Amino acid sequence: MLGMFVLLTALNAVLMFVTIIYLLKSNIRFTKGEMQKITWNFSFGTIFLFGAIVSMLIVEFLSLQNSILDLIQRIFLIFSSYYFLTASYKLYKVSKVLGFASSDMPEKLKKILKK
Amino acid sequence: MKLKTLKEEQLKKFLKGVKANKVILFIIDAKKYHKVHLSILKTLIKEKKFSGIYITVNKPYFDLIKYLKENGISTENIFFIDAISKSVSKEIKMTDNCLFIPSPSHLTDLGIALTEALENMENKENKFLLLDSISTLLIYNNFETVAKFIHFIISRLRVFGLIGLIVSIEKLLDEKMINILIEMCDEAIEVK
Repeated sequence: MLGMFVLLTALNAVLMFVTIIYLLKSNIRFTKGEMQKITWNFSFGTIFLFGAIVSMLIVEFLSLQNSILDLIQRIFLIFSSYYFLTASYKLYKVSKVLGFASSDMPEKLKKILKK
Repeated sequence: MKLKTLKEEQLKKFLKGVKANKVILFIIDAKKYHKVHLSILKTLIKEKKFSGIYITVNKPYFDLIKYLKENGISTENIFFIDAISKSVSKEIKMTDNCLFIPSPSHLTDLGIALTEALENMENKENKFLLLDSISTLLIYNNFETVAKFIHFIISRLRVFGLIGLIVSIEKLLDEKMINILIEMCDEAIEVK
């Protein structure tokens, strides 16, 4: 059972690593601006999640529960959540401004687009 | 396609005959920029009763509005995208009349805003998009980035069938950029 858990966690770590590579590679293609900031936040969120999963793997593999590594794993998870939350909030804010289908769009713009 | 040379007085006639789904590049002599710029807007807004989107990287929105009003051009049917008024906000901000983008180097954001606007437009045959100007974009971005961005805008305009007007100041563009632009646009007009 533990072997299965370790295998799944290792697979998860590999997937996280690939995700980070994709995010960082996509980030360099954007010009400066909101999209780049959002991708940075997603990248950091994923890096911390990767750290949390790797430390979880080590904790489980070496039975280091309640050790400092266990604490680090939780801290990484908090950082990861913070970055994902920031990225999602920024995306929400950008969607309010750049989402021209939104009902929040200024009346003048609505009038010009529909005229 | 060749670069057509027009005099100021011929420009009005040319603009009156402009049809939808055309992308036109204007290469304007710096000394005549203000006059030609006003002439383009007057013909489109006052005479052809078009409405559209004005992307300014040249003059801040508040100055531009003042300048257009002083010259008798109504801004009622124009929505502005201002990428030069850094002072307004450090983040993208939408007001009633203008979308502020913090910097002319934030081309990704500008591209997203444009695509969204174009997708939500109706009656595209009487709409225009004016980009003022490429020469200023080149101050803030490198050649390759601007070329890609212009290509993106032009392909979007073609897909959505709008009139696209791209303004540039003569002598601020090098030969390579002019050639790329001429290739991408339907017509290239040099205003002398």
